[in-house]
Amino acid sequence: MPITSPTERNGVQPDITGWTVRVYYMSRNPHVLFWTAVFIVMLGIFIGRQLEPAKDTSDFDSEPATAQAVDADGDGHEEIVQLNVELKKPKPELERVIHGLRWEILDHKNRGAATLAKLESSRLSPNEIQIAVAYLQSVASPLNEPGADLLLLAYQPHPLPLTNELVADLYAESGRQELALEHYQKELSIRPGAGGTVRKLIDFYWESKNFPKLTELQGDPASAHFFKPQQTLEIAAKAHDWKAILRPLWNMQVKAFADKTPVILTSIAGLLWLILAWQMVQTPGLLHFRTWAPLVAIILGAASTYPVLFLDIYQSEMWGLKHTGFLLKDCAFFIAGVGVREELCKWIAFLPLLAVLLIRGSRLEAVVVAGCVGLGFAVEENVSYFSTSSNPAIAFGRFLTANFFHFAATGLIGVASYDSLKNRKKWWKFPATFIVVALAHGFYDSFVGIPNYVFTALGLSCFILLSLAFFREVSRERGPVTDQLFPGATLIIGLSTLVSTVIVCAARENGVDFALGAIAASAVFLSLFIYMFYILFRDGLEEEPELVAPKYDNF
Amino acid sequence: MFEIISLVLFCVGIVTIFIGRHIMIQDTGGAPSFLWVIVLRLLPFSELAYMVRHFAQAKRGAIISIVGMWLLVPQLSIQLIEREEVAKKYMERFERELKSSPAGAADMEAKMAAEMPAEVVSAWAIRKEMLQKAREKHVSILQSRIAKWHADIQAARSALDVTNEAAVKAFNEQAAAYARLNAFGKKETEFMLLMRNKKPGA
Repeated sequence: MPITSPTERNGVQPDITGWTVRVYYMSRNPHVLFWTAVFIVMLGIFIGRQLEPAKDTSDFDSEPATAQAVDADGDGHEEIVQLNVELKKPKPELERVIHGLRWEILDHKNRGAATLAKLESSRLSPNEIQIAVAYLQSVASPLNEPGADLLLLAYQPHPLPLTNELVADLYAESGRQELALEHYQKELSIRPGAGGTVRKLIDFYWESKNFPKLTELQGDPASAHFFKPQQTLEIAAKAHDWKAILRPLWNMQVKAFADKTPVILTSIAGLLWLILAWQMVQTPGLLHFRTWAPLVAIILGAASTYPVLFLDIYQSEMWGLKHTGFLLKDCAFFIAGVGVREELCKWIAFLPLLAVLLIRGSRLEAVVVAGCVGLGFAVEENVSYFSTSSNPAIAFGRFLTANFFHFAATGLIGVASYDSLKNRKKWWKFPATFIVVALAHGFYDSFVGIPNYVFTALGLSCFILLSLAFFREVSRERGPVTDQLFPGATLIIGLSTLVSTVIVCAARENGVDFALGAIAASAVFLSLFIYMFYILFRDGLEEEPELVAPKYDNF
Repeated sequence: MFEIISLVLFCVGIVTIFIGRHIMIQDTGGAPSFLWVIVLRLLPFSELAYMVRHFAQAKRGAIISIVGMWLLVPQLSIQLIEREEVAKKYMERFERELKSSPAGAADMEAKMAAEMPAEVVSAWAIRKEMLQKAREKHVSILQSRIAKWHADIQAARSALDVTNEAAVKAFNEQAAAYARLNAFGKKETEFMLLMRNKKPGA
């Protein structure tokens, strides 16, 4: 007979009462959970509405600023240039005016005359006005190629600085690469070592994958420091200079943490799974091993992304394991490459803790602490993934899937290695589990993106079976201690907080409607995962769920 | 031979999936709730959610169903790889013809136009015409600037003091720069004519 309240069991008043018991039962009530989640998400939408950017309805004169993102120092950090603000400065910078100008025309083609008047009345020097006006005429044309006046300036015996660079930029954009190269080189002959031009020339060769030229430029101390870490890294990989990869790889890892939004979102997602890990491992107190060991594991897991990225580059260059979009090559890439290297590196990162866990002798600690190594890996990977992704709302799915997938995969491998070392007769358990998990990881990554129902379902079934196996291991080892808060409630409240934060972050950049649209686009897929996790946290952590299942569990 | 085997496996797989799903529902009591019936009919991947919800009872059927899906993989992979090969060859041919020569590119555009819906071709043609007009205007302005520069140089030549070394040097630099722009202007005119003479529809 199902329990309907904390005060009734088979019609008999139990001897357990008190607010903690009531909180636990309240947290199991799906109605309470649903409305709490709705409230948190609505709060996120409300805050997002307050913070979303104002819609552009102003005209040129009343508009406070027109913005264009500029990577002024080439470090990948984009600075906002505001055309009107720049033009009103006592000494406007031509390069910044040009950036703002470009945006102005792209955004409002019909404002050419007004922009021209602004330029002519600005504090730019006559030569600079001449260049800016010639550039404005070029970008205002549908051809988007250098106009006659800009060409005339560029072909002078002693051209004004920047003219050839602007001509080259426009030719590069319109696909006339030979002309672009010619004018970049001409600009450099006029202004040797000009940072912006050198950087653009590097990017030009980078786009055309001209590695001999890039190597040549990198060998020149005047231009070497203009290379971005990604460029230095790939050039070193092409030259098989593996030692030279280490520093740019580290720089890229550090740079991924420069943007606050990904760090905030991944931290919240990571914290949610960490709280769930603490609940799984039934930590008894703040200073207990079960409280701080998962934290150490997360740090170790985050560190394990570094060798994974190194192996990624090595395998891509030496073994040709790359993501190509073709089925067989991608299967090889994900199974022999991604699956094996990620699981191997996470397991190696777990080894220092394995020694302690063997001494302590708790399988539950082994499975959860190992899982936290995977969680740390996923959190770090998410930050890096975010730095290359366009919008937080689009990457929401990763928080749900990647965090738990790595958590479960490493947890299973970790506990298998624990078992193999604890009981020599079970030596086979670690290699067998490692192969199965690495295969499941590889097949999940390979199949889940294929636009075919059977492949996607098989990819998801790898995920589900892995999750079920993980929960089975946890439930077998958990003691009879009652949870203070239902783990499913932690999941739902945590996820709704995460959704709220995602909405706020995305709304700040693109508005609430876009944020909600992006989340709704993958709603079916994400709902499946949320439902699955809810069921697993509700039933999967109990050995005999039918004995304690409240009346709501029929859903 | 492999194709026949994969086809047989495909058929066996379909049957296995149905058997697995039947066992899955039977093992969980034989009659899912009304909500589950609706969800199983309407939502993709809901059978996976059903599997999670009732795994303790439904695992036998679920595993059989998953095995059935794996049996479909060889045949589906063959189809997928064939499609990939076709797309790959098309892209290779497209890139080859696009890079071969301007005429080759124009020819390729005409072939692409033949495969596109009429409204897309129409929009494409309007845009091309607009660009062509802009290019003709651009070349016309460029030629007028070149002509003016030529006139200025001619005026400077007639006023040039040939004994003044610095003036001669400056004049020669001007003339050389003019010659470079003039040569470029001719190339731009040729390019404009080439674009104008592209096949209709391209």
